[in-house]
Amino acid sequence: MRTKTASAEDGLDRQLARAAAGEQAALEALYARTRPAVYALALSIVKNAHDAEDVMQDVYVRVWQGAGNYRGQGTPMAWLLTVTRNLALDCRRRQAKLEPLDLEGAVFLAPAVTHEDRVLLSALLEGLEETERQIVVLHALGGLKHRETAALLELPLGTVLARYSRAVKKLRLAGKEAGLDV
Amino acid sequence: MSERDAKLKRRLWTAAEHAAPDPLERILSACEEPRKEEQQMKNARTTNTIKKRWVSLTAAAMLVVLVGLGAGIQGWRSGQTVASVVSLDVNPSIQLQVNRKERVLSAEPLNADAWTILKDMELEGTQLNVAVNAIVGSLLQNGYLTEAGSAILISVEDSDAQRAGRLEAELNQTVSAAVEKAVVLSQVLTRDAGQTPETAGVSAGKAALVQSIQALNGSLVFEDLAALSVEELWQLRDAGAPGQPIGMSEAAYAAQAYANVLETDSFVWEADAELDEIPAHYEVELYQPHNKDLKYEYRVDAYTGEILTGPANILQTTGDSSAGTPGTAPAPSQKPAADTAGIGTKNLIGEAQAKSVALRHAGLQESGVQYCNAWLEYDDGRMEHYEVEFGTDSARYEYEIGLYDGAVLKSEQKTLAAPSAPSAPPASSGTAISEARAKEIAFAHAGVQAADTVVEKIKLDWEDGVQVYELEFRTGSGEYEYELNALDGTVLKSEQKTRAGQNHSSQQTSYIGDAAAKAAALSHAGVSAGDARDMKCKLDHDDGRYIYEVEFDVGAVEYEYEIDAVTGAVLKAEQDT
Repeated sequence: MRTKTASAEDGLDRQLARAAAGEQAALEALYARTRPAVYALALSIVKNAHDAEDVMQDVYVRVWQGAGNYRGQGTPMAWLLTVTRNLALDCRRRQAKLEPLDLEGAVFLAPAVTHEDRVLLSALLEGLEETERQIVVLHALGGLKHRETAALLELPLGTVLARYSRAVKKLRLAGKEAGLDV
Repeated sequence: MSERDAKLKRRLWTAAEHAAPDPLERILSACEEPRKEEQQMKNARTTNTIKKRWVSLTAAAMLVVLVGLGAGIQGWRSGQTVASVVSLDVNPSIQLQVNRKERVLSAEPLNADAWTILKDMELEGTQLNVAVNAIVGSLLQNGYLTEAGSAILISVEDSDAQRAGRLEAELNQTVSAAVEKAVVLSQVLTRDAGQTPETAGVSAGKAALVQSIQALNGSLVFEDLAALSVEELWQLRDAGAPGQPIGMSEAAYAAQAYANVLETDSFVWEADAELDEIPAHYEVELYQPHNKDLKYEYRVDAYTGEILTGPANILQTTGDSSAGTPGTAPAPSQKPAADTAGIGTKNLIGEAQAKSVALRHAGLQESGVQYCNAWLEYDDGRMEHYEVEFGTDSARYEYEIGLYDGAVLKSEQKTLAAPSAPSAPPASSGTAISEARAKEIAFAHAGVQAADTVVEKIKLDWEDGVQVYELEFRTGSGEYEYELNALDGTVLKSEQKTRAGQNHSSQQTSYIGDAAAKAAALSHAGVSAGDARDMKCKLDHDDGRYIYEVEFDVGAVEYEYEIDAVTGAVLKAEQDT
């Protein structure tokens, strides 16, 4: 029996292949499905909304230009998030100074952001330490398996499992304190 | 996955979706430029244009570009048979497939680090030794193989033992010539190239090394071992593989947790494996990128993650209260000894408290400012003070706050726009207030009495088209610099410097004082006080001790002195004509 995740990945695989073949609609579909995870991962590394948007743009342009480089090792999502992470790390190295993330002044300006979103994003981006944050984004938003996350971050699987569990507790606690049932 | 987990994930996804910008149009517009592959084909046909960022690569890497472009990517697609597979493992793992003529058919990054190493390089179609040289160049540029003890493993997988042996020897020689400090390891795997069971992200060569370790200790898991670097694996095998090392990331995590800096993003780490020592451990260094001279060193047990040596709570520990006092503490070494508390052991007030002190001093609240940042400021590897910056619509503030007592060491306020009409022609728009009035305004602003002050400078000047008074004065406890709008007396800038050390009452060492410091400098220079002009004397902290910086002019000669604040010894004397 095929799992839900597997079929979703299959879909991404096809979209990636079609984007690689120059089909713009496939790139748009891929973008729509993966935009939250790509943005959240970029933001969690570069900690600046403008830089995160630039990274996001670079990721999809890179996908368009180099989607042929994806040769089926790992899942398409793992590949996409690896590209995101590498570009974000490159960007962070270029940043003159690592400023604190300005959630109120930049990230929360998007009109769609609700009170609940604010609580969760604050907990995710400010309440977790860096590795925890990346683990949560890769697994909860990107849908990566813990073993894939471990491989991408080059951490032992046990470490990823323990930190994910701890991070989720922190997120739930932050939600609870704000009166949310998460 | 429980329903609860799924719910949390859905909510996180929704939150990220709501917050994520939507630059699709920009992306599509950028995508309309020629695709990379098309561009390469075009280059191959017409010109050997080299991208600007490649210019900084090694000559070997450039050669790769040229050869790669010259050869085009026809060879890459011609489906030639793979004769050998060469893998290069450091922590980045790269696998090269080559044909009988030793031309590279494919170059594949096997992990995330390798992606960075290979990006922008087109290795397909190049000679193997050229490609390997380019990769090693990129590894070095990216900070790999630069430390003594780091290791690179070259593995050649080929069914032809003779060819494999020759390739191995040649590549070992090529790589050895390129790296100065790293250990070059190489091995031959005599089997059909590409016949090694595929394991995601692990080269055949690394897999063979892992398997040789598993042969020593059957309880070790392939994937866990494969996550280690070649250097770690090599040391582990030498040590008889008694267990599964925790890995550099986990060791760094343990050190950061012990140092209590996990919640701050300002520290970075470097780790080095020492698995063949007893006890097997990782050496981890924590430091802040802007202050690489001050590194905190930890030894972390390689199997348990226990901290063997290293300072705890490097920012806010309660630690040893006898760790030292300003002026009397032994100067800290640039690298605190691993098992000593080093600096940072006294009670730092913390960034939040520093902000609070500065805001209170300025008569503001955090909610009333546009931004407020605080950080530890270092000088010569030593924590000096907290720097706090904040701003409102009308002014920018900069403060220096004492590390332990929260004393305001320096405050500076800069008014952004003079309230007088900025477009009015400054020279004809009014009459400057008198010097006496300027002093009154500044003294009142500083909260000092005229009788307690010595005015060292008052000067009418022009600044950005505005006529200003520049004032410098001092009292028994501080030094002040002001800039006033000369027309209406508005305070444009104020700076207050409290003499460092004044508030360390419980730890106070007596200093010789300004007068003695000046006398020591004048005496050394053979100058009488009456001949010296523009005398300045400032208590400062440098290289772990308190000093007086004394400056004065005699005729056309400028003198600069550093006087030990405790002993009065002349530490530095400079004359400039």
